[in-house]
This record gives sequence, structure tokens and C-alpha cells, in this order.
Amino acid sequence: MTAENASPLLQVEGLSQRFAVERDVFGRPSQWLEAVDRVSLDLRRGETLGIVGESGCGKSTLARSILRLTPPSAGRVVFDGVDLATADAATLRRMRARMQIVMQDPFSALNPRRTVGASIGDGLSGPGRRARVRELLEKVGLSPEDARRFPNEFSGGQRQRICIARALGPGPDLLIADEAVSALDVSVQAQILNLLAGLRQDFGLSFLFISHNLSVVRAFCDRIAVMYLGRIVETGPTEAIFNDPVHPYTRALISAVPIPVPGRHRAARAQLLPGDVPSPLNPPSGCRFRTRCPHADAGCAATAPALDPVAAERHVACLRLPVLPRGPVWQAPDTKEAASC
Amino acid sequence: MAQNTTAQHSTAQGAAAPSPAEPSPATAGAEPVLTVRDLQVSYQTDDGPVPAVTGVSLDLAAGETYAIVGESGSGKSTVALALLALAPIVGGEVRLAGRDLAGLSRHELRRLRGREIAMIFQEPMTSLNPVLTLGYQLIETIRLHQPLDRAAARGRAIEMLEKVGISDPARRLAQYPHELSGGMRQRVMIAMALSCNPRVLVADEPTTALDVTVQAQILSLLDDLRAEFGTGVVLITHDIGVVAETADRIGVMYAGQLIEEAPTADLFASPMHPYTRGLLASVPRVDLPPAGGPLAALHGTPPKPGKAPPGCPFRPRCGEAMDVCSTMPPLTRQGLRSVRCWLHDR
Amino acid sequence: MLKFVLRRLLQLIPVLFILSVLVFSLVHLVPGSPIDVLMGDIRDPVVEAALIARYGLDQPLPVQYWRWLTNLLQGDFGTSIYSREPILHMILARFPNTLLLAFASAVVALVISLPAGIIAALYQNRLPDFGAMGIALAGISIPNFWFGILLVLLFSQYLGWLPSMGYVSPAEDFGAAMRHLILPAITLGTAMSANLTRLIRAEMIEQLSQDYVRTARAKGLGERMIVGVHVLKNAMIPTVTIIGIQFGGLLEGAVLTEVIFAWPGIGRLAVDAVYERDYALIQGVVLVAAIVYVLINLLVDISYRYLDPRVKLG
Repeated sequence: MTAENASPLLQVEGLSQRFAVERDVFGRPSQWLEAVDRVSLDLRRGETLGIVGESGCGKSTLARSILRLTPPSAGRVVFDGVDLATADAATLRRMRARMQIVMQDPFSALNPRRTVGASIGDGLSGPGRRARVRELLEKVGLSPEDARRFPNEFSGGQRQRICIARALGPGPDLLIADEAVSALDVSVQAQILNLLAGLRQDFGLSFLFISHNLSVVRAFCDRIAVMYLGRIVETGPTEAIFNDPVHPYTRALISAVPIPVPGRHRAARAQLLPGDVPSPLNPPSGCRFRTRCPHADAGCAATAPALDPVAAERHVACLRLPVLPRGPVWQAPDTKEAASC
Repeated sequence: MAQNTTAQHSTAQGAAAPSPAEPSPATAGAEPVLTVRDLQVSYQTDDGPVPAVTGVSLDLAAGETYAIVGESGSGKSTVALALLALAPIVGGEVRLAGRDLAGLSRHELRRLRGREIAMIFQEPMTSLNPVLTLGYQLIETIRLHQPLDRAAARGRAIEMLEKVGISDPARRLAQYPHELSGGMRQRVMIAMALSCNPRVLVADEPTTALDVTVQAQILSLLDDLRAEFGTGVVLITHDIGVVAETADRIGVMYAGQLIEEAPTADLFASPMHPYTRGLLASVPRVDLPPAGGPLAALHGTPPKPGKAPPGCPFRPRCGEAMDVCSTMPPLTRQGLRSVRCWLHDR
Repeated sequence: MLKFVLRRLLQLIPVLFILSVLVFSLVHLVPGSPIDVLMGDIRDPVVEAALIARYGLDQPLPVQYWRWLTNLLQGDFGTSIYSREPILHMILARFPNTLLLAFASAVVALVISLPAGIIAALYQNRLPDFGAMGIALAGISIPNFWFGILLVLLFSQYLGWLPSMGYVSPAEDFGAAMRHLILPAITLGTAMSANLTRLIRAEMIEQLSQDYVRTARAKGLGERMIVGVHVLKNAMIPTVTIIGIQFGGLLEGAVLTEVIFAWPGIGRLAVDAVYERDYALIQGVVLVAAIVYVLINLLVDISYRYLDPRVKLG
């Protein structure tokens, strides 16, 4: 698109987002919640980066900060070479049109009193607006006549298609999908994922794909970043991570997912994590995962590990790298056939 | 205490009357604790009655986990509520340990709920009363069904909290639900449900609202308790992975009907109904690299309750639909399996 | 908790300051002056000038305000131009009477609306619901003073059971005091109960559809326990807020009721003060009423802490 094709589309540097949760007698913040703590990542043009983690890990807050829906407390977000924090209002508006978001709940995301066409047409202007709405509806697998109908006439999957059409309206380069298929039934989820994959190809979209569903992430993303309590603990190419998860949290997360093959899962069951995610109000010192980590030692409480390279394109934030188990967390597929019979 | 009640459960008696809609037998020889025959549930709405469940039959043996799988609107949660007579049953019967729920008075039903059959729900956040302490809610349940004084009931509550892996249980009794994480709340719900050693536990999407690492804990906890107490578990879920991991037998629901039933391994090895096949194929695999190309997806969406087409409700989405599919296929038995599809009608 | 109360009290300071400015300017915007009332028919400019100077009314308004405010901060509300009594005394003498009336009315309101609201919710869209809601609608529509007069006609004129007006101190004759209290309390209380019934009904219906009710049913709890313990405790949380707000409203409603029933509370005091253009007295009454209103709100917030364990004050 431009001469700077080599540079990443989106650069996030040291992004932090904190919220005041308690105030003193004079209304000054006395306790902070660090929802996102110094997160850095790059998104290349045409790439799909998955952000995975459990509730409270800060993945949705990260998306909101990047879009400046809540301006970040610290750090930089650079979109296509423009620092969003210092951009003037007109530039910011232009940049925002190029980054769109699709959210989890297709029921609350649409105004029930406006027609589908009106909702999709919001981001558009000019004489070709109506034609563009019809074109967008066809692109997402609906019929152009649907523009006159209201959201309550559509199922959850169809509404998510409408939300996607609306996001495509301004012709974005980046689509942030925040748990976009999580509320959908399995059979519908596959349809929407296929739709998104098709659009990615047709429009050359880049994706920030935020999800707690690791199966979906493996099917859809080129690279992933695993978050725990506001920090990234591991990044790398999707297949490399799923075949050889390094960080103990990544291993536990991947092996906790039940596999739709009876008998296959049990082998890796030893990875079951104890306890719950600690409160982000009072995160553990040093490595935030150490309270649930089977490999933690005294040093983990003292130092917060940095994201260090472990292999090509792969980074892991762990002080105990030498003692970590490696390799896949499941048996090879052939042994499972024997197990299930 | 756990031991005697388990022994008492094994004396469950009274077999279901033979019926045309006889389902596949539960695991060999065991007397079912729960039998459902041709269950019909219908909700009254402003637009007249809307059938949510039409003709579901199943058996559950003691200590067995029977999973009901389906998508939203399939009627699976309505079946769950109907097992406790908490949904408007308009036909068929539910027999718990030989007793037909329809023949019981309100008072007898209340004595049954929580003691003989208990239930846990999807949302541990809202399923506990936010303004009452955990201790109050637990002890209330225990004293409702067991002749214990306050102190003894408190002891039992602490014992149950320990069993479900909650640390420092005595202190927890004074806490309120919001002071616990989602996983802890679901543990409390399980403790409450199992506090009176019910024969049957109905678990409606018990881990859907939980994080995946916590889900793994809760599933293994449920499995351990099932084995320890010999409780029969009816697990309602949309998650194929969870089913594969925990269920002994599976019933697949679509548009208010049970369209296929089979032992877990058989169902995954050779799904018979086209919907089951499509459902299994559309689940992305976390343990395998993507095959490349689009995911296998069923087209269309499940019908809304009461809006299913006549004949086989899956017909509009089915790639193998035939002329005969415009009439309702019967439920066909084949050994331990049954399926409702003309492709398999013998 | 203490921190919360302290912060709320600190926040009160600017509120009270703005309030004092408002009260002061409003009073001085009212046409006519206390001098007119004092002078009556006398037409003597010398006397008039002397009176004006004596009460400082010749000073610019900001100066008058400053003088009033500094006296106020020393606990001096000034003296009534008319009765020559210290205003603080007058208010403190009347205030308990109004409080007694408001409290009795709130009790009447709860006694009516709690059962009515619960029954209406349990029999939603059936006869008892329509009955309760019809009465509530009538309660909102009927003017307070008219209902009060009706009550007087029925119970004192025709039946002669209760006194039509006046006040007896409970310390002197408790029985007589209660008999004098009944009619004004019912008049005020029914007005409040109409809104309260509708609120409690809506709140109960909302709570009855919550997941925890389903849990309670699934564990075999009877409907009486579900409604009486589980649902009611949740439904009372928003209800208490409204009661608090309406309690402030009772102080206002007291103006009319106190006039009708010749009840010697601050409502009547305020009315008399306005008739007499008694600037200092009006200012004092309004200010005290406002402070009480704000303090009641603080009390409501604190009571939240006890009703709803999820609320953390701080």
C-alpha cells in the first residue's frame, strides 16, 4: 500500500493501562489496578496475531488501549508510522477509521431501533453509501435486502456478520476481534471463522485476534502472544508454540483444553494448574505466575523476568528456562487412535 | 456419612414401565436411578405454548455420566430443569429411583430436590445469593434435608467445603459470594449440591463460564466426587471436548429432540446422524495443526424453539436430505446406540 | 468506613457553601421586606430608616451575606425580626415534632407498601396485583391535602374518633400525643406508600427472575423462605435508597400537612416565616432542612454497607 511495507502496521511499546480502584479522603487515587503492564508487540502487515489468556489477563483492556477507547497510562501505540498519542485530532480520526473492532456480544453491539443498513452506514459518507452497504452485506454472506431489517430479526451468527460488515465499512487495515466468536454456537463459530479468513484474504486485513479459546486461535492465527495478569509471558509463531510450549503457563493453558477425542487427553493431565489467577489488585511480586508455577524458586519472587529470545521469532519471560520441560503436551495422533478403540 | 448413603442408594428399586420410546440401555445390568420417557416440555408465552422439548427418553445408571450435547435452543437446559420438575412438563414421565415426579405433591417434590436430585448451573456468579453468606446458604440446604442442629450442619458444611478443595473452610462460611473467584464459587455450588448425597446431580454447563485452567480443575473434581459418592451425573454442555473427556454416554439434542445416543467412544468413532457428524467436524482441534483451507462448517443456524420445520428438524441444513425427511424419522435402536434419521432406519 | 464518612463530610463543605449562597439570594429576591411587615400602617421614613440600619439592610448584599455567614459559623443563626427569639432555638424547638411526624409517616408507608408490593409481585398480572396497583395509582393521583381533609371529615367530624388538629407532647400525655399523630401520619404516609409499593413490586419481580432463585428452588427451598429471606433481602437494597430520598421528601411534604393539621413543626415555621418576610428565619429553616437532607443521604449510603455486602465504602 505504501512505501514503508517493511515496517509493522502496528507497534505497541511499553503499553500500560492502570485504573484507580481506591481513593483517599481527598479523592486522590490510593490504589491502582494494573490491567496491562508494559506490553510491547508488533503486528506486521497482513498478519494475524492472537492474544490469548484467561479472564483478567488484560487482553481486552489491551485492545481498548490500542484503540484509545481508554487512553493508555504509559507507552506508545504507533499505527502505520503515526504515534497515536501525539497525533492531531484529524489524523487520529483518520487512523481510527483504519482500525476497527468486532466485539463478543452481537446482541448488545447493535442498536435495536435502527435498521441494519443504518448501523452499517454509520461509518460511511457520500453518494455511494447505499450501494456500499449492500455490497458489504453481500461480502459477509447476507442479502442486500437485509439492510432494511432490524437486528432482532437475525440470529446471533447473523448479527455477528452484521457487526463485521459495519467494521469493514470504513475500509480498515486492522481488524481487532475481541472474543468475536466466543458467544456463538460451535457450528456457527466455524462459519464466522471461515468468513473472517476469507475477508482477511480478500482485503489483505491484519488481525489482532483476542480470544480465550485456544482451539480457535490455533486454527486462525499466524503468531500468538500469551498473556497472564497483564503481562506477555510468551510470543511466537502459532505452530511453534503449540508444538513446543515453553512457558509453564502456556503449557498448562494448552494442556487444560479438553480434546474432542475420548481418551486422548488424559496423558497430559499432569499439567493441571493449582488454584486461581491471583487478583490483579495485588499481583505477586517478581514473576506474576510464580504462585501457580510448578518450577518456581526463590529467585522468581525477586525479579520480574523479561521477554527473552529462545528461538527464531520466539520470546519467553521465565527465569527458569533451563529446567522447563519441552516438546508437545499431547501424545502423537497415531497412539490416540489405538486408545480410543 | 458418605459411605452409608451410598449403600442406601444401591437399594434403589422400581423399574420403568415398558414404553414404545425405550432408550438404549445404560451400562450393562445396572438399575437406572433416573429414567425419562417421552418427555414433553412446553413454555407458555404470549404467542401460545412453545414446545421446548419434544419426546426425549433416556436412562441414567448410578455413578454414570450421561452428557446431553446441543447448541443454544436445542432444549438441553430445559431437559435439565425438567429432571427436577422445575420446567412445565406437559407429557411423558420422569422417574427418579422408581418414583414418578408427576405423582408427587409440591411438598414431596421439594423434599426430593436437593436431597435425591441436585443441580448446579452455568453462572456461579449469579447462582448464589449475593447478600447471604456462603455459610447461610450451605447450612440452609443441609438443614432443609437432614435432621441436624446448627452446629452439626455447620460441621457438615465445613466437611463439604474441604471435599471440594476449598482452603480454610471455616473462615469461608462467613464470606459472601463476591469475595470468591468464579472457580471457587462453582466449588461452593458443588459442595451445596452434594451436601445431601443426592443420587443424581444435574450439571448445566458447569464450566462454561470458567477459565480453561479452572475448568480442568472443576471437571476432575466432579469426576472424583462422582466416583466417591456413586452419584449419577447428567452433564449438559455445548463443549464437545468436555464431553469427550468426561461422559460415559452421550445424547445429542437438536430442536428439542434427542437425535442420537451412543456410548462416548462409539459416538466419536462413528457418528451416525448427519448433524452429529457436522458438529464434530466443525470443532477446531487444539491438538492438531490446522488442515489448511476453511473449517468444515454446517451451514445455516439451528431453528428457534417452536420454529422447527415439519418432519426432521435438521432437514434444511442436511446435505443428505431425502424426500422421506419431510416426515419425522423414528428413533432407531442399534445395539447400545440409537439414532433418529431416515438414513439409518431399518 | 471512617474514611468514607470523613470524605463525605469534606464533600459537604462546598455543597453547603453553594447552598447558603442560594438560600440567601433567593430570600432577598422575594418582593417585599420585613420592614414593610414591621411598619404596618405607619408611614414614617425616619423610623423606617432607623429599622433598616438596625438590621443592616442598608448594607450591600455581599456584606449582608458575609455577616450572616460568619455569624452562622459561630453557631449564631441570628434572631427573628418578628418574635425576637434566637432562630436556632426556634428551629430546635420545632424540629423534633417534624421528625416525629416524618418517622411515623415512614412507618405507615412501610406497613402499607411492603405487603402490598410483595403480594402484587407474587400475583403478577392477576387480581391482587391489579388491586394493589390500582390503589397505588390512586394514592399518587389524589392530592395530599385533599386526602388529609377527607380523613379529618371522616374520623373527627363524623366519627369523632380522633382530634382534627393540634399537637400534644408525648412527654405530657403519650396517648393523646399518639391520637394527634395518627391522621397527619396517615396523610403523609399514604402519599409515600404509593410510590414505594410500585418500587417494591418492580424490585421483587426483578429479583424473582434471578439465577439464585432458581438455585434455591433446585435445592428444595419452599416459596415462603425464597421470598421472605432470599428475595426480600435483595429487593430491600434499592428500596432503602428510595425510602431515604423520600424521607427528605417527607420533610417537604410536612409543610402542607403541618399547616392542615396545625402541627407545630418546621414546615409551619417556614410558612409563617415567609408570610412575615422574616429573612433570617427563612434562611435558617431552609439551611437546616438542607443539612438534614444531605445527612440522611449519607446515612442511606452507610446503611448500604450493611444491606449489601458487595458495597465497599472507601
